[in-house]
Amino acid sequence: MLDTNLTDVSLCLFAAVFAVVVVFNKNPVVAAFSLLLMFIGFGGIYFRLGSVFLTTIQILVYAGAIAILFVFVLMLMNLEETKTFIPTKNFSLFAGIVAILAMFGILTIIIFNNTDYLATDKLPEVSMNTLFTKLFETYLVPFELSTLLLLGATVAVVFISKKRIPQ
Amino acid sequence: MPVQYLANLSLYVPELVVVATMMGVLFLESTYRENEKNHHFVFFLTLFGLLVAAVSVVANFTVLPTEFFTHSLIHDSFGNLSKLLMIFGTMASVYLSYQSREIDQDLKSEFSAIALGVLVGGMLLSSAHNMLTLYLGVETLSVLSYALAAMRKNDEKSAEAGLKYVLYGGVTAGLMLFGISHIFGALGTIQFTEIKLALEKVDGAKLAILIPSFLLFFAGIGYKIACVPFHMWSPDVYEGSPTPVTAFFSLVPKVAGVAALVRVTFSFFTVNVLLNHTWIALLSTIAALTLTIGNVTAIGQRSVKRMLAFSSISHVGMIILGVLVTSDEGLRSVMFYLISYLFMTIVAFYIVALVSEQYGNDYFERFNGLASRYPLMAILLTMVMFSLSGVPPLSGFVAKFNIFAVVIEKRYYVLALFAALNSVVSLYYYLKIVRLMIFKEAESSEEIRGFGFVNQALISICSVPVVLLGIYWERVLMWAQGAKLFVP
Repeated sequence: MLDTNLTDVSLCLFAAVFAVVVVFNKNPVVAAFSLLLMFIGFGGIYFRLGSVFLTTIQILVYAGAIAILFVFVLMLMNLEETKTFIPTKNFSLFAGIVAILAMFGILTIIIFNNTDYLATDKLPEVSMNTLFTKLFETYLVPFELSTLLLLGATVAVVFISKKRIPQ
Repeated sequence: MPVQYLANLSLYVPELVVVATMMGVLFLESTYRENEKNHHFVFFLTLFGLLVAAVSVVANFTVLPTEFFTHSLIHDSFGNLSKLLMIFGTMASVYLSYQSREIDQDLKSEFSAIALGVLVGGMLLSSAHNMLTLYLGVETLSVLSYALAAMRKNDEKSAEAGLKYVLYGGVTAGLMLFGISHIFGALGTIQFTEIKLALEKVDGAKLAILIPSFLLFFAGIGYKIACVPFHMWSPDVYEGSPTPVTAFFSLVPKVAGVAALVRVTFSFFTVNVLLNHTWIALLSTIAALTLTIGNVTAIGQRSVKRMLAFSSISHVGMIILGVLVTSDEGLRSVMFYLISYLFMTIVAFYIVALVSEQYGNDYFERFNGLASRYPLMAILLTMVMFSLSGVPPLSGFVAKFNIFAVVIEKRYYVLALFAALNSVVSLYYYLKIVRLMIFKEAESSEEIRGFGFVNQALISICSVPVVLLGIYWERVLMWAQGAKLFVP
């Protein structure tokens, strides 16, 4: 649909780099935040592919809810045993400046390459409409069946965690 | 659109009945007080619901094969027959669970509810006609099975079984989804019919993406039927779970997985020559490995349930042999195999459950001298063991013979040789239990409480088909031939 250009490449790099950080970083909090940034990168890719609705959902649900949930779980858990990497002052200053410059660079590239897209009056109207027509007409049955899966999972969870009466 | 959905609902009555029964069980269970021990009504409701579902499946047999719910699901006699088998399997395991003392009294109604949920997943899998419903079927089947495997929470083995099941299941479901997303990426559709059309005219570049994707896709199904690279979970889960749950696992998810494998094979891999060869090569390798590893590992087992787990792995190898010939005769022999496997498994697990309940474990020595104490049970178990290893004139022989016939007809001689050698190996461990029952002295003379009149009568009734299918097999085969797959 669109020719591959600098925006796409930088978005993919952005997402890929943070995905690698999630896997290889030993500090869980850093990993969780990298996950969040990776989700945002995915949102950008969806946007470039022309699906505004999916971008919104990606940012709201994944970056907004799921990644934050991860962070909450990490906060509730006891993380004292994990070794945290404490960088020297100079190193963190350097790394911080590089990271901020890189982020702003990428944002600038994205915004200046997509000025026509970002004009709100030109948003594609069909995106949401098509999605829900598919969801509630073509794929209604799988949609309904997934509720059955959720019900089953709820029963299973209660079943596993229920207090047993010793006999 | 809505009218069309309503019109299609009549084809979906069996599943709706099972779901309604599951809800009914959940509601009914909540009406019991905490100290009430016997939940008879839950049990009767479950059996009644399953009976109604079976009747409605049979009632749908006359309806012509068709796609319904906007191509999400398919109705054909093959799917219907698999559903019927799964319903009978669930009935047997629910009955076993009701009898069992391995399952705590207050967990029995939950067992019923979850088993019904797994059944719905299985029915969905056997009639799935797009990737989304297929995946949902696999997940519904798996997520609920995890809970069943971890049923005895405080038992170390059961907890281990549950955890292993979850980890393996999660990984294979992820692989399968990855494969599906690539198939969708390459072909642009998830409907089976459209995928088939698209596969007729794919070029080399797309095949390079599609072949690895289909391999990944196979992981999900392979895990459900427990064939070789994905079989590791099965012995631990079988051994760790209470016997009724083990019986359930060796029936329902297996039939569902085989049904899905058959449908996928016949839908996708008959059109493109290269793809067909790849798939057959994959299935042949897996079948040979599954047969060999299943049988050879079964020899050294101490627990009968674990032995049966490995033997069921090798039976899956035989079934895959029937699938990979991709002909109507192959389909017919697979169906016959599933039918006879159902009855043999029910009888074997029934007897093992009653024995292991008495002694607290199911090691081979517990069966010492059973012939002198309970001659009828010993004879029936001997018969089933002979049938499982494929000795004439029992049903297991006819089932294996049919598979051999179709494999040799297609000139896959090496595979036939593998299967034949493995049958000989299997004879060793099946007959080990027979030898112990007949020639060894009994360990103790205490009565096995489970072998009351009703249970003995039920076991006898269940083992009648093992003989009858071996003698009147032609008629059943004709009937199984009616189980045509509908590939639109």
